[in-house]
Amino acid sequence: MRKQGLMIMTVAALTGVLSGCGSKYQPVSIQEDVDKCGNCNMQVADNAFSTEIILKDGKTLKFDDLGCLNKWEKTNGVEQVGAEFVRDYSSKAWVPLKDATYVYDKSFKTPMGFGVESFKDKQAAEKYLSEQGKGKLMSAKDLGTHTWEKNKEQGDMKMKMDQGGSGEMKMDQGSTGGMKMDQGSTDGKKMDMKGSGQ
Amino acid sequence: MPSRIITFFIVCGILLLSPLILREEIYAKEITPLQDLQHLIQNAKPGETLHIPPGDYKGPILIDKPLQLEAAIGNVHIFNDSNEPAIQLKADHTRMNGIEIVDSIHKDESAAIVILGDYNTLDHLTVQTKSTGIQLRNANHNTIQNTSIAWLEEREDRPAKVSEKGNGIDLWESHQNKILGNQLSNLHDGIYMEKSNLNQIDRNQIVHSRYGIHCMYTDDIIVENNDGSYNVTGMMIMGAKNSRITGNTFYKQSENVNSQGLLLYDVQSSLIERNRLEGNRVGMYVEQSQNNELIHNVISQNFVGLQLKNTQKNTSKGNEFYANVIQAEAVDSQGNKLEGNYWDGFRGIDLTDTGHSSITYGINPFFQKLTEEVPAYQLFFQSPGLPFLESMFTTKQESWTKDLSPLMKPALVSGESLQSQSYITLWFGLVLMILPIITIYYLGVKRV
Repeated sequence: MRKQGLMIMTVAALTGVLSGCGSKYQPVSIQEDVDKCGNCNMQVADNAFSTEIILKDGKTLKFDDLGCLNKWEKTNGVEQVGAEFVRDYSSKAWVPLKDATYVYDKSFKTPMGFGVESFKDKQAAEKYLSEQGKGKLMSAKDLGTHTWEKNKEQGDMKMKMDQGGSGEMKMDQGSTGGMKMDQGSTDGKKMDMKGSGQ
Repeated sequence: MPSRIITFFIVCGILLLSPLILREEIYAKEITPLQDLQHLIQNAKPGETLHIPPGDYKGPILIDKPLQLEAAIGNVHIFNDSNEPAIQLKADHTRMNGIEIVDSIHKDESAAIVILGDYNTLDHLTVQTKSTGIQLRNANHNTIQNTSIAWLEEREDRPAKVSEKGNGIDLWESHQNKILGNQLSNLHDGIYMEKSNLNQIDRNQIVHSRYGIHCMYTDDIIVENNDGSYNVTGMMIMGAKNSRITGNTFYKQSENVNSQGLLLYDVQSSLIERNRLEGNRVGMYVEQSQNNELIHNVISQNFVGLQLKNTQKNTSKGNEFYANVIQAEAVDSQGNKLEGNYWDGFRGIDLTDTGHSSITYGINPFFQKLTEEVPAYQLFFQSPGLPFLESMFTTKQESWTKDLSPLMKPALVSGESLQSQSYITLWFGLVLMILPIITIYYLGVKRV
């Protein structure tokens, strides 16, 4: 009788352990010395911007920026993806991607400049946005329709044109590099480099 | 006799006590109050040259008008233990020369020196920092030269993690600056540039940092004659176009599993010329980059010389590959123009007497594909079985990246240096041989 009880308990415990392992993907911690981004090859820092994908075969892919994770999924598809994790901006705890709340502003600094940050709680995200005074709130669903623009555009290049009150730009001052700026270019940010720099 | 003994004891006494006396002196020096430099700056008129008297000063310092701050090198120190930057430069046309800065408090989004103005020059500074060395924010036309920046290590026994450190020189939306001849060591990224165009990075030396030079979304930059060693990656360029990377040397980037000499990711229409990539884990790694010219680079003694991934329409010409364990790997990289590179160990045949082989040099993607799927297979790097397997998987050769006309001999430039090296070895060997002969001839035979 006792033997049978022991047996049942063992089986129950084993089932518990096995099901615990099998049904759930666990986030894997970041090892800064060896982890590189599955998309852009950069070192993955153990910070709030790191994200990861656990593939169905158990392999873990780590990314330095949520935008890199998104790009990987766009390239490779999601059939093999078992789980996706992001981190809470303040506590750095791992949160399933679908449960987190996101904030975006193109001025938010993230490793690859995608400008999307993740929060465990919606309230914390809202609070962060009100502190920053900018940005928009997004749910995991909104990420699918997000444009994922890299913060690359330098629309407001502050060249301080009116410096010194003279109203002209002294591009050649102190410059032996032979750089010349093409002010007449169409978008106002593109420059034209001439000369060899030597 | 007794007087001698007394003298002996006095001398002993002085010797024993002297460390105490010396220590007393050092202690006395430490407690001298730091002088007020801000006061001197406030009293100076805009444009004035201020010769800072030798001594120790306290930070933080704010410079909000054009000034020429001159200090005798090594004699003026600024100690800053506040949360503000040691020096905040909000003026234009300011010059700082010869100041030493010790910034001992970590700041998340700030630095030892923060530059917010234009046309400033920083020359011969020494910066020790617990965060970033010099930050430029919307700052243009500045020059930073002959300056050394190093991480301020507090405890030797617990060195800071690389992600805890700050960058050496950090540019954000800052254009047309010059960073020349600086020494950067033990930092996160030596020189970090984001959204900053038309900058010139010349003759800097970066060691023991994460990435020596790291560019994110920078166009029209010139990176010339820099030198990086013992970093995780010598130079990493991501998202750049119309740039020139020439004459740089990156060697011994091999300590980390993800080390490269030079990494190009999403780089367009740039020139990569005359760089020397030696003894790295991967010499040059190129991914998702188009329309670049890779010419006359010398890639030697790396585990993998050149690695191409998903990269098209680049020209690789006149590069020289010596003694790399794997000379080159290429995956999904069709339509690149490889011609006239020198691959040592390649046995070509020059039928047309043009100095180029008539047999092409194909790059087998086997190992790269294998380790991409399961990185642990890197353990089999050059194990006897792998070259055998590799030689079996030679199907679809038409899709391989190929050098269509490999050079039979290396181009003259590096050939010369190798030649002179072998002469040095020859002469050194001769001297080593002759010296013992002379020694034996004159000394060895004198036997009684």
